[in-house]
Amino acid sequence: MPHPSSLSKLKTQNSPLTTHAPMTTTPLVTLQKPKDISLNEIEAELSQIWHSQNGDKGTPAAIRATTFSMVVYEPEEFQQLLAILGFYKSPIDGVHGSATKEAVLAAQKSYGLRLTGRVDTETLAKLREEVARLPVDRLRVPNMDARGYTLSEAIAVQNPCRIITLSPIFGEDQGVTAQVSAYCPIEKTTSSGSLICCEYITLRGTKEALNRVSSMVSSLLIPGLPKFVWWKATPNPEQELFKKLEENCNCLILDSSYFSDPEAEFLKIQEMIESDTYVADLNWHRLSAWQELAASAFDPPERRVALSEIDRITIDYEKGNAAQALMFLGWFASRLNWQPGAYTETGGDYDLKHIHFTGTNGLAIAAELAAIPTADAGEIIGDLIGLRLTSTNLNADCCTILCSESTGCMRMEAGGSAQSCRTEQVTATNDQKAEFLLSQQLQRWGRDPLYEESLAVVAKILQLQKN
Amino acid sequence: MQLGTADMLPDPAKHRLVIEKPFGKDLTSAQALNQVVRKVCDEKQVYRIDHYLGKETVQNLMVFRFANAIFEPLWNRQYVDHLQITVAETVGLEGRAGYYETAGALRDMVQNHLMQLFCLSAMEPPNSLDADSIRNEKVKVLQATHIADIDHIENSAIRGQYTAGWRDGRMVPGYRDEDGASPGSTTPTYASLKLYIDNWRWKGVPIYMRTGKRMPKKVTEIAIQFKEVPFLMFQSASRQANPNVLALRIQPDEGISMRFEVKTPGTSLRTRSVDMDFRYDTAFGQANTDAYARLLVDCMLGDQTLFTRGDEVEASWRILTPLLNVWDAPAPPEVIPLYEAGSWGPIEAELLLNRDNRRWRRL
Repeated sequence: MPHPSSLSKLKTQNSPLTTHAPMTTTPLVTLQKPKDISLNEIEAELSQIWHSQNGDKGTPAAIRATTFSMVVYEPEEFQQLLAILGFYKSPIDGVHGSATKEAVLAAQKSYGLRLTGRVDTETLAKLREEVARLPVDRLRVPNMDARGYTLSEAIAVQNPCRIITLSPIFGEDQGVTAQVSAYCPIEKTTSSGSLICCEYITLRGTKEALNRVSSMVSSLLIPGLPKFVWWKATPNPEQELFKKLEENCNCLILDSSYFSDPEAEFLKIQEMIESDTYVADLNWHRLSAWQELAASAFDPPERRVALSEIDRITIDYEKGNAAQALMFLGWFASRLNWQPGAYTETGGDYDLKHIHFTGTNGLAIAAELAAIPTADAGEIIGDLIGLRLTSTNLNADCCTILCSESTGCMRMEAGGSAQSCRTEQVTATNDQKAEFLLSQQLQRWGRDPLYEESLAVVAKILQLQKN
Repeated sequence: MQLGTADMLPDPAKHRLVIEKPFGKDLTSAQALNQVVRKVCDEKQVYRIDHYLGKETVQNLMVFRFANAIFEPLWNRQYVDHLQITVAETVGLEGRAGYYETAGALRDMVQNHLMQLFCLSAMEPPNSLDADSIRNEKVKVLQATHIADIDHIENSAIRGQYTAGWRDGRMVPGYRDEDGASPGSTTPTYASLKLYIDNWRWKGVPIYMRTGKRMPKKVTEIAIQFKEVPFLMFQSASRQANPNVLALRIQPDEGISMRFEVKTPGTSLRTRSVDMDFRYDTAFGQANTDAYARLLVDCMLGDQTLFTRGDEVEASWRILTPLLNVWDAPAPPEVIPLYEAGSWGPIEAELLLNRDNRRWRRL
């Protein structure tokens, strides 16, 4: 019989609640260290923890958080590829810190690739190719697999819950192994004192093996409580596991900044939304600063009337992923009731995309999306770096420029636009990590009509592109 | 000199001498000029005119600071992060090549207009409103002021010259193509400076100044940016650092605006920046008379308050001397950073502030 470890204080830490507002220090208590068990013992094992815990006198009662459950699908392909090839020695954890960056650089160096320290499409293709050459018995990842734990710590303090991490592994299909554990990140300061605890279930196996247990995974989602799925990969409606989870969850969370072909994925997401799946894109939240600033530029009443005069919009973004730029355009167009009419790509250094809309009263609107090559785009690719709203009606007081500190305002202000424009230099909120945005996403219930309406416009634009 | 020999200034109580800028072209020539002037008349007779001092908002600076109890306690290194003084013109050379080629932005604008704005914003409260009390304080603050890093001028002062660009939707020529300007001219049409004041009130607070021709807008303002709150409880909806800014606009739309945070409507505790705006013309109607007219009346009434004293001129030249030494040296045309006409100056000027994690206000 497992003996729950005594309530030893593992460590204290500041809550990663937000970067701005640290909470008071919170005890993080281990109820049950990660323990290997067989699949059919999972629920029994977890109830055992609670059972034995509450018989213990003299220590605060530990209570299972009845909030929600979340499945995290964490393929973490490239850390594993790097580990198999011997470049990466640290734990597989989905945290792309300095160790990961060094490993990527080492790999890029030895394969003669451009040294970016980032897994771009080129590097990923090369890593996959190298690993595919190895015999099956060499496909072992010797590193510690810490997937599920690092992430959970980051969100558990604010959102204690049941987290089920699915960790696909390489190599031979040897079925699925399970681990359960429990941590208590929050102590309630009531008279008796009680710990609020999270349960972690980690399942490992090859992709195929995980597909086979799809139904079992869905059954681990606590009935009656909200069910989230964080799919840290491109959505794949063909995959059995994805299908099952999509059917059984209340909200499917994605991050389009990871997509190598966001245009294609957006159309898939739009289909899912149309078939009534609640999809949340973490990348959407990266736009909020730009949305706020664009909106506040039209706060003064005298400018508000000029909003309908805007017929030129230019959006600059970090080259490599157009998702944020498209969503911003979709948002703006949906707010002003613009209908997409034509789409052209002129390419060039800036990969220019031109989209024509028709506004209310038949106003012809031209939008331009420009992919700006940046020296270092950081970990998140495709952040917005500039926005210009203008009108061909020179009397309209609507010209607005938002430009990020990272690239400055010169491109947007060139050609005389600085003269009539309300310009604001924006503190770059680049590289907002998915984990941080996730905890924001978890705070909200119900679908986000703004996102869905914006994506609907994006989908229309992308349909024009296809035709 | 000729006025003196012609015996036109015999009575210090009756006869007055009004001098228009430039008051010399550097410290030495200013000192020489002052000597000449003092030889023929008394300092009490001399009215060095700087029309900026005739503007309502400039005079209001003192009223604002010393007639209100709530601002002055904040007016120091404990609460102020930095000051930005901007004098931007949209015009180009306007046929003044002969003068401007030898002057440049530093002599044309900084030494006089910007320094006056600076003095009134930074000086200590005067003992009284008489001319010398105020001018003593101005001299005192100038004497405590120096270019931020004298050993590395390039980190504390940036010059620039405009190239061809846009004005009201039309192409305008670059400085070197203007009538009368030398094709290889290194005359700065833009200057930005970082200054420090070594006194109890301001030690460590950077003062940034900029002026230029062919800027996007004709605008003059003094902006006091306050320090951020020590602990941020509320998140700005736009995730921006939103410090409080007090902006004193001298033109256009003379007035004062204060930027602060408010809660956005709705259930979340998010904040957004808004401006509380006072405008002279809405409060008092179109009151501002011509600055020169006001100053000439003062001169006739014998009030020297709004005129520059000789030692004041010298003190402000002294601040700029290390800069003039470098910028006046003969140099190939490519040393001077360029900016497109109709833009806010060269990229180097942006970096001047970005290095300190600050940025110029976009006006």
